[in-house]
Amino acid sequence: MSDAKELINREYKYGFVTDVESDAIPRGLNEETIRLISARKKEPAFMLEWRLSAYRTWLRMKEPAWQNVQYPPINYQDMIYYSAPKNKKDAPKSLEEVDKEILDTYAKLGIPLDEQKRLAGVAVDAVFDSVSVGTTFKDTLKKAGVIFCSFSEAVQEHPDLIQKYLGSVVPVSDNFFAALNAAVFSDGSFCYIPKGVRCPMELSTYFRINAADTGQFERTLLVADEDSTVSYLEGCTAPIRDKNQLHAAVVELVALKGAKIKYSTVQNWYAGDKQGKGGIYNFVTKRGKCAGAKSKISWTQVETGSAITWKYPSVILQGDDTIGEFYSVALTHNYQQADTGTKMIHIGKNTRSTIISKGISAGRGKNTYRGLVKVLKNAEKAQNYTQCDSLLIGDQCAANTFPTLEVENNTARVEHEASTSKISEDQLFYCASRGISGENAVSMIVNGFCKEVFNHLPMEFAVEASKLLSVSLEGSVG
Amino acid sequence: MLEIKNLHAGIEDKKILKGFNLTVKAGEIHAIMGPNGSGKSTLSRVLAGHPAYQVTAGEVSYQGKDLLEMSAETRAQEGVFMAFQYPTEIPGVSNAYFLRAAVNAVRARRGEPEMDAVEFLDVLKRKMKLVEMDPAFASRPVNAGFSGGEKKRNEILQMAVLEPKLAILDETDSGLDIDALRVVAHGVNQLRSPERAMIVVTHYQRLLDYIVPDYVHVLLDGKIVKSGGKELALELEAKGYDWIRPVGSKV
Amino acid sequence: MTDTKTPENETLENYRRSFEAFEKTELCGEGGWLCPERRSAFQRFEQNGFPGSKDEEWRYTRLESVKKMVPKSAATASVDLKTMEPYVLDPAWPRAVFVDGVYQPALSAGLEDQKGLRVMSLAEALRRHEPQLASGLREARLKPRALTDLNTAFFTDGIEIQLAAGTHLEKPLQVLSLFLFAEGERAIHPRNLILAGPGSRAAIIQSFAGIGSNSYFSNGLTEVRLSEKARLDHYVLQQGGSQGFQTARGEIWLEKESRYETFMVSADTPFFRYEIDAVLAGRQAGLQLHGFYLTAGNEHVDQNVLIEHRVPECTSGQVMKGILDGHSRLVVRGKVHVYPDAQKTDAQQTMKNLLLSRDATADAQPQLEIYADDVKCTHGTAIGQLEDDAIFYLKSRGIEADEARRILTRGFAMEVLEKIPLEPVRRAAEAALGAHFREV
Repeated sequence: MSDAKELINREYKYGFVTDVESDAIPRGLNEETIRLISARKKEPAFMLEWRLSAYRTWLRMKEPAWQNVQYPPINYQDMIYYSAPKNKKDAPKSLEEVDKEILDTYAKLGIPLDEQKRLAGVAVDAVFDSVSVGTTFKDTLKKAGVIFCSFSEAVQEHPDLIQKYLGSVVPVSDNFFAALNAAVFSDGSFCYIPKGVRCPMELSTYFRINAADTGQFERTLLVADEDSTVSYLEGCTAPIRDKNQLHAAVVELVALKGAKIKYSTVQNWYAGDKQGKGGIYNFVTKRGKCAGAKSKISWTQVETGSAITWKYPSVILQGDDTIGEFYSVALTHNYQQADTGTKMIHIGKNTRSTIISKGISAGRGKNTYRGLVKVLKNAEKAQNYTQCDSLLIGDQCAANTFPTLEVENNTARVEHEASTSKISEDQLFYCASRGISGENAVSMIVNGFCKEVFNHLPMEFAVEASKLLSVSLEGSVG
Repeated sequence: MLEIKNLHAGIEDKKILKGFNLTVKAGEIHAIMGPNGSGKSTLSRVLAGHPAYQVTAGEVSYQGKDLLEMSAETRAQEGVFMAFQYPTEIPGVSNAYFLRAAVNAVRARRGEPEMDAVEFLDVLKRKMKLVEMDPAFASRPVNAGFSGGEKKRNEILQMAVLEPKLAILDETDSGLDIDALRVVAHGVNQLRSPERAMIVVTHYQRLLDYIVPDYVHVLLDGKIVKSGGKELALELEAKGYDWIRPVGSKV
Repeated sequence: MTDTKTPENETLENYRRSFEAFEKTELCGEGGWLCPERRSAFQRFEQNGFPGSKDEEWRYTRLESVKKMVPKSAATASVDLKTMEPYVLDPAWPRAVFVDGVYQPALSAGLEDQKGLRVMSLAEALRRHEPQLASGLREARLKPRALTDLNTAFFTDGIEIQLAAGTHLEKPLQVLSLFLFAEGERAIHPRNLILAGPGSRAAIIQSFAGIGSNSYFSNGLTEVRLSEKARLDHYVLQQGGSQGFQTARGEIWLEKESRYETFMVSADTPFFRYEIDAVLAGRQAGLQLHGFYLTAGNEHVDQNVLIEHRVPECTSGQVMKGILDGHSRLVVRGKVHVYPDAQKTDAQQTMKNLLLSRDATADAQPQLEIYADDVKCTHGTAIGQLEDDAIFYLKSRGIEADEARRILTRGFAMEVLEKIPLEPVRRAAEAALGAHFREV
């Protein structure tokens, strides 16, 4: 397909660097680093203790090697663990005080923090390098009783909630990167929806790595109290740098009785160049707990960025009649690698889960779905349906499907289906003969392939995700 | 033979039948017609004893006995037969094996001796001829890989073999082309007898050209709103269901 | 960790003593001709030990009980014809019979009758310094693996079957292994070699039956090589009565346009780990696997399949069905690996497990690893109970609930069993099923 070969390669459009003075602590990691971070953030004693216990746990752990990805060893001593944009004052008290450079950055990203210009209905918490630089629509949310603020602020203002729920879904000892995060995490978002409240607008966090040589370790904690409802969006970008940067975040969701959480991610970290140089290592632990009966947690993710993605947004279905969902699109191009999937742990009765995973591999991209559906002994009538589809574009890429099903209750029903397909020359020719060019044809076919997942994204995000896919796929057909 | 009084039934929290009445005598054929969602299939399934449906009020007496008290298998053994709208596929179990198990369950209920495989195969072959079915279907797994028409024909074959007293045909015409429809109807007509009653549930009048009913009832929103002879079906065909809706009812 | 006497160390020490004693016997290889290969295999085993929980492929299966057993070799035993008869699938078929892993010429029959077929016990091949045997070991073409090393170190007997080019075996060949172990707990390591020459066709049944009451560890390894256009139907049949721990592995190599079809039927086996490792090495080779497992009581059955599509245009299919009762556990793992150049691969995989009892556990890992784009690969897995709709359908025809369940369960099994083309094998398989369902 000569048409297809001529597709132009557009560059990563979020790859600019913002020139702000930053306040970083020295390279390296030891107990002193952690005390320093905690002191900078003026944290209460329980936080420092928690961080230190995490650090000591981490020291005893080994970096995992079982995931189906390859990368050179990470030197954890050659990294900066805290970097904050230096502000004239100690910290921005309101959006007006946020550094103009940063506001411009977000405007460039299409996320204006200026409330006046902001599309109504979405409240944003923006995290720049390691700290939250501003949260919009605070007042509107406050009226509804919703707490939505940076993690640092929450530690100061709502220490009781933090102490109660922090680490309750992802304990410090959960895995190597979660332990590291617990030790050094710098900021993130906190959200609490009170009993019976339907959050009046979509909540959103936008993450941006700017400084060089920094690892970003943010933490999101979202608690939906009884019978509340919330939809949460998360987006990520980073500048182009030729060195790999580590992003090891933790997201914890807690849904109490009857609560519903929808968590959507569009991940577009810098993926490295065509030769596989640079890019973000995105090693993230995301987990939700349906703690109360009839609660529901739904993960939707579109993963197009990062050099390596390694994450398994999971749901612990603890309460009876709870629902867990995972809808995922993961695209790998050039030398990108993704090992992603989910775990659905059925503990309560009548628990149901659905997993729809769409993996697209192009160029030398490597895409692995890894999942676990576990039905414990007392999970009467638990149900799971899983569908994993892979689409291969080009003959240098790889698509793997590694599901595990463990069923200990005979009233359960667990089903898994997987298929693999490619975009064939015939399909492209058929499109061409109807006047649809190579680039548009590929984009059309891929979008069709992902439709089932996009349908679960909030409208605005769905459009963005669809565009992102097209951009990420440029130059993939030859 | 069958008397349904003030039947209220539904699935989960949804009420579907809301005061359904019908009396069927031996030898009669009753057609129940109605648009989608009127409760036709619910009626069939409730009569056959589907566990997902709950009866909230009313009574159904069959040959003087309380039908609602009986389990699905007891109903079948007592001579109630439902031809499914969507017959279930059972891979690995041959048609012949399946039907012999059913026949012997009915015979056991009646205190009759079991039919052995050779004897049964004779009966089966005769009945297959009746519904113009290839004898090869006897050894094929129940409904697995059958076309829509073959599945429906297989339902009629089962009816022919089990010789029920009351047969309920649940939208047996759906998904059939005209040739298949003719064959299925022919099979049904062969089974008409003064001892046997039939309830034919259908959306379209078309089937009633081939299986001529004694009575036609129109089901709307869970109850019968009009009854008449076979000409009522033609009238419905010409005018649709709307003319029959009570004024002011929701569409 | 060094000098403490952990159970692990004790096990290895037992094996070392056993190996050192074995090395001095003639069974090791007359004149010591195989001893260097055996010794290096044993050293590897000593280094790696038994596979454990860290090994992803052994995630659900432990060999703890096997480790506790003292690895005594089996003494020569024999049984009379009457004891053997019930396990002979068809007296007219040629058969090779083993008791406790030792070849029994007196019980075997019909092996000389077929032109182009050469059957020899491995003990005999060892005595004769059969060249393909030695080269097989030296080439080390087998995947490095603890149980393979253990087998290479200790094997003393087994069967070698060679089909000359173009040979069409008229009758199926049964290789019957009876486990008696009258003298107590033993470990055996049967080694088999099936070499199908170009264009040859055959059906071979490996069947196993326990006729004693002592426990044992049987660690079998069967190498199958299909030359161009060869066609082999290979049955692995558990005929019941097993009292011990059985691990068996088939390493299958398929050349161009060859075809391998295997039926694996297991019921009434307390512990069985069955591995298939197949390499589609020549274009347009085809492989079809049918597995049926019935587990009850405290049985533990684990099937682990790897199919490698190394070249273009090959097809593979796997259908694995399990019925689980009692406290049993069934693990089914199947991986299809498509190499970068293996375009036009067609690979399908189906796993279905039916849980009859509250206390049974089913684990399934259907895996696809794909490095080529022009492929058709699918898999489907389902674990659960019988469909409510199907039960209702039967009940609506007058069939009582228990009977309906029995019919549907049997139907679930028959979907696999009815595909067995050899009547006596199918009957034996159905008999195993029937024996269980009379009790249910």
